[in-house]
Amino acid sequence: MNCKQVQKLILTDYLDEQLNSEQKREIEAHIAGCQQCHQFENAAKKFVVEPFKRLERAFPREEVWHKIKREIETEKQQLSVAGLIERIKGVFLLPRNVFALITVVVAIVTIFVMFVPLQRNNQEVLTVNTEKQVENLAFLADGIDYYSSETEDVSYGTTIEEYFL
Amino acid sequence: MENITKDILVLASGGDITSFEKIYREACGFVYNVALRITETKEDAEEITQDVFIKIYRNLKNFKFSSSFKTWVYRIAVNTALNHRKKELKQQEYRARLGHDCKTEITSCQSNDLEDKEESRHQADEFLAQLSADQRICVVLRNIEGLSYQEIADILKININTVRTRLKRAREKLLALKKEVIKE
Repeated sequence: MNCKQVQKLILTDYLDEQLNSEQKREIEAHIAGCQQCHQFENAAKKFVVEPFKRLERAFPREEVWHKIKREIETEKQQLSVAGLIERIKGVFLLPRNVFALITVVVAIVTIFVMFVPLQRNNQEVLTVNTEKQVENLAFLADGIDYYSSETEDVSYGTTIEEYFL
Repeated sequence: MENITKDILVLASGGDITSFEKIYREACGFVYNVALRITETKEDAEEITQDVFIKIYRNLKNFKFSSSFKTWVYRIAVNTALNHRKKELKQQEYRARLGHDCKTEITSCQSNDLEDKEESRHQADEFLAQLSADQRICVVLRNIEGLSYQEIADILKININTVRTRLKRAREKLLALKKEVIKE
């Protein structure tokens, strides 16, 4: 491994302890025997790693949590109102297939309700008419019988009537 | 983060605010720190922290337990902070185009920066400011948060070698800057 390769690894995997033990030993052996790479390693540790190690972890002010909590609670309220509206809508707005089924059932019931009494009325009318027709036919039959019977003995009371008939 | 159990996550996803507060207490430190190192101001970092936890709360129901919760939270934090920074840079460019009106804005920004730098006792922030957003995130996640290369790769959804390359370039830049400072 030459100095360029070693320095590349020092800046990445070596400083970040991402090398396996064998690779680490190899780099350390090179550094031990190379003044330039030894200086490079020291500079990298001092200027690239140390400044960040000394950084203290900062935390947001407590107010940030209160703001988040407020926003979440407002959102929850809005969602609960929206949910209620959706539920109400759900009561009135049925799915299409259910709506179609109900329409068909209502149509069948309407037809049944309208048609059955009408049919009964028609039967009554028919019965009444039939009785009348029977009477009329009987009357006509009587008439036919009367006129088709022997008329020789029938006297109309005048001679002129006899002449015409 | 290890204290956040599956039960807490399930309860919080169901809207339990006490469980969600436990998650916040465990995770707010690293979310805030990542945001602070990317955006550089406390106000922005707090705004990002707020955004991140609202996003976590809204999306907790969709969280798949197959992936690490820590990785998931880091990813949300990094993406939110990066988007915030992009918007901020665009606004700064826009203000710069506005002529004399922007002078007051720029002055205020500079004064904010100075205040932040005064507050910062370490060189790390100054170094981080010299890096690109991609390099800075890798350095923050590795040097400050102590994540492994694989964890960084998972969070940023990039190849592990890309993580290595970004860290190497960032550190080379830091060393070069330091050499310049020493020479001066």
